[in-house]
Amino acid sequence: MKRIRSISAVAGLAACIFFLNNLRESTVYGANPAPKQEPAADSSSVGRRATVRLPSVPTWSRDVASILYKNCATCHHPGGAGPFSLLTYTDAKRWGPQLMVVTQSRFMPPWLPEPGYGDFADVRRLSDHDRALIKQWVVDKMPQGDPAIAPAPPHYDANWLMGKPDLILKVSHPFTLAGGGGDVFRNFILPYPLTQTHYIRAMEIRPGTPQIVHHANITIDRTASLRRQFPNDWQSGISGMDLMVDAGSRFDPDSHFLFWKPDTPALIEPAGMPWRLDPGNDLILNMHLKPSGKAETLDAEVGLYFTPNPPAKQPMLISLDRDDALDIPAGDANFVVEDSMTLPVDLDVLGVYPHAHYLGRDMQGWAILPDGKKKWLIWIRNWDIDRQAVYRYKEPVLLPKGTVLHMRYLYDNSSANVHNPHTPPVRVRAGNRSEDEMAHLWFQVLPVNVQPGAPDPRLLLEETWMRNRLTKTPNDQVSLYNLAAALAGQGKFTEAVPAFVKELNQSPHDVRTLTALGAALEGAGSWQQAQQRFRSAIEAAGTDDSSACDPRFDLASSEFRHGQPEAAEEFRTEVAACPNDAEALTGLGQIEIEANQTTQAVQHLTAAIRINPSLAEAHEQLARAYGQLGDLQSALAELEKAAELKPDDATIHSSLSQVLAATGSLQQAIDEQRTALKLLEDDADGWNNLGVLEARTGQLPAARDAFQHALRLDPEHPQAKSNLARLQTQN
Amino acid sequence: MVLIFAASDCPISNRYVPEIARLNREFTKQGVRIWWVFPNPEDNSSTVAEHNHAFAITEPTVLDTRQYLVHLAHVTTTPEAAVFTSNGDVLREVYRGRIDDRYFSIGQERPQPQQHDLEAAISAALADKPVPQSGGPPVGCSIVYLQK
Repeated sequence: MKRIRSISAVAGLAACIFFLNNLRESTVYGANPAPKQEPAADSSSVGRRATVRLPSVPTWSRDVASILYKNCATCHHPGGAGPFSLLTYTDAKRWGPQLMVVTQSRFMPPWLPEPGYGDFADVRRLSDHDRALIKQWVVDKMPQGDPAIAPAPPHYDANWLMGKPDLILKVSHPFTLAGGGGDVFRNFILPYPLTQTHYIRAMEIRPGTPQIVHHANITIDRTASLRRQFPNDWQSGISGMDLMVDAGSRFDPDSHFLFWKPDTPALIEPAGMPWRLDPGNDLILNMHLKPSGKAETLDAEVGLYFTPNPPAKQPMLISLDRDDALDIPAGDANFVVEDSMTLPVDLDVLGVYPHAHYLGRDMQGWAILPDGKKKWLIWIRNWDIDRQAVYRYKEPVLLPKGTVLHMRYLYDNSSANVHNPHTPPVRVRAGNRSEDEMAHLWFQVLPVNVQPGAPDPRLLLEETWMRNRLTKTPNDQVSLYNLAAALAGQGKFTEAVPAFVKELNQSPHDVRTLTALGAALEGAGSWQQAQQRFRSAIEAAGTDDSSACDPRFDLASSEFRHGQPEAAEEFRTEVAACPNDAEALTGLGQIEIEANQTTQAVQHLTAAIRINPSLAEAHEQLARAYGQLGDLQSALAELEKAAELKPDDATIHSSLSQVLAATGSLQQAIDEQRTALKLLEDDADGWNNLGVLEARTGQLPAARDAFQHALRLDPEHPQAKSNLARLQTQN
Repeated sequence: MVLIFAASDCPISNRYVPEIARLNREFTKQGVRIWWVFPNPEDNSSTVAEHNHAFAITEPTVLDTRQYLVHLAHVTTTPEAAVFTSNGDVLREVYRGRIDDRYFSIGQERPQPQQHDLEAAISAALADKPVPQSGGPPVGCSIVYLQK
């Protein structure tokens, strides 16, 4: 026995020695033999399974090291997220008995989904062979074998896995987690500091002290709503397990699972599916922390990797949920909730994220295909919130239109559930504290088989999703608003108006709803009423300039559309109050082009693009301005950018065709016009323009066909008529 | 006399540091002496000193390099507690086992403990009442026994 300096008080040390002297001479408790190392026999022992063949005496070098390197070392290495390293023989021997216990119980490696119920990527489930092998090795007293044949240990770098990020966001105030007590759920707000939009192809989260972080989830707060909700203490973090953020007033469903767990620090998005950060966005880093026994400081950082390419595919997160039905009696061990939804479009399911708190036990998600076949999407038999994760499918799961998604969650609120936060159990309802419950099954989906030029299928999906939510909670304001917005987005204005009115009845002075209702009225043709609503919205916003941006923009646009001269002044007021509103700058630029104030227009449109480079409209208008200045090359460049951003927009291709024709590139101009007409077939002007271009390149029969096509669409089309007549006299 | 068997590299053992500090505060005035015991061969004086500094451990600590205390107390796990009463020179182990029921098994953990087994045992021993025994097996890391 050794004394540890600087720890023991002198008196304590003396007592210790005294105690040991007693011990040595004690006859009551003489030296006992060391407890035997052999673990007790287990009924599921190796020999029983004929399918598992093991080497007669497994050794670390030949058999065990490779299993540990492949399945455990990603977390269990020095500095890794696991509590100890498993890179050397000494490590493996030290932890051998625990390795056997946790692999037999399947606590490790962490993997909840039942095999055969969803075909997932990055499966962490250990094979029966490997489990049996570890067990046999431990039973055989963990022999090392020949170190010369051991595989080389994997190498882990303490730096960013993907090299230096393009942007690193840090939590402004490091958080100290106390050594004791229960788990902590904390939300840190990381404002996006740049003044232009970027697309993120990958992200890495470095929690600082990964050993205390169970998992972390990032939510994009597009409107910085949480920061506004907690103006005084957002910098030190906000507690809570699930938070709701305000998604803003625009339909912007592009969404990704940004989920960190110890073995996947870098989140690399599939090709063509980067996510987006705009100026003013916040990242909310939601962390589940587990005290380690000592106070730990957490100074998380998030590394972002940019790509210049906007997304080619925009996935969306949708959910089944039954929070409304969660009212779990104390002691009930079998409380079940279910939800289902019929898909209105074909889609690929990319990933799934089941979520409940401590009472969830059995969680199932499946689809009934239109032909009646059942397709499992996930089954977790022993839910454990500590090991929750997002699961991505190895291949996207195609679910055709008409498929019914299902979820069925079972909760155990008895005292037999060791995770139960209450002793004795109490009645539990839905809520975002960890002792409340939740019933969510999230899917990341990508609509497929979309016709070119068709409205965004995600709007129809959103409509269906919100209608489904409203069947359960008919007065849920978020669902009412989102439903109305999805209807308006699809151009179903006459349906959208009453839906917004219904939401407005619950909060009559809501700036956003008033604005959206105005926009729907405008869409339905009642523009005077619309402008009234916009004015009420501006009034309701009062002195809060930022919330008045949208109604001011809509009012100015409406006035512009209806030829009202006050539009210009309205846009100027808005740009002054909302200098980062790229769309307002674009609107102002457009008015200036029409008033021949081209220099100012270029200035405002360039500013708009600096704020939001992916705003196609701004590029289009800037092209017009350059056209007005006679700078056709710049106009061409802007239109090409616009076409890249909105490849399905016929007008942009038409404009491109016009500019190309003016620069003398007639054949390219013809190609662009044909592209435009493929997208918008019944455009008589477009056919007439095509005919003109074809006539100028001497393709007379094609030109005649084009003019005739225009006249079939519009028999009175004057230019097409005279062009056709001129063509016939030329022949 | 209470011995808490621990290992500097065992996460579950470490998570009990604040709980042992609490018990020490609670019982120290009543003459109870709580000791940390580090029995594993790799826990030498410098690793444990560093560990105790990091975890701000103020209770007296011993290295059981020969594992006499392990044999005396019949413990197998870190963390595991042993409570002794003494009558003159004769020591009697009145409790051996888990600190509380927070861990059901490795990976099965209650949000808060419901039964404070060690606390109940100490209280009973102080009151000269029959000492209730541990309600379940200790959960944590096996003690690494010395090679014989």
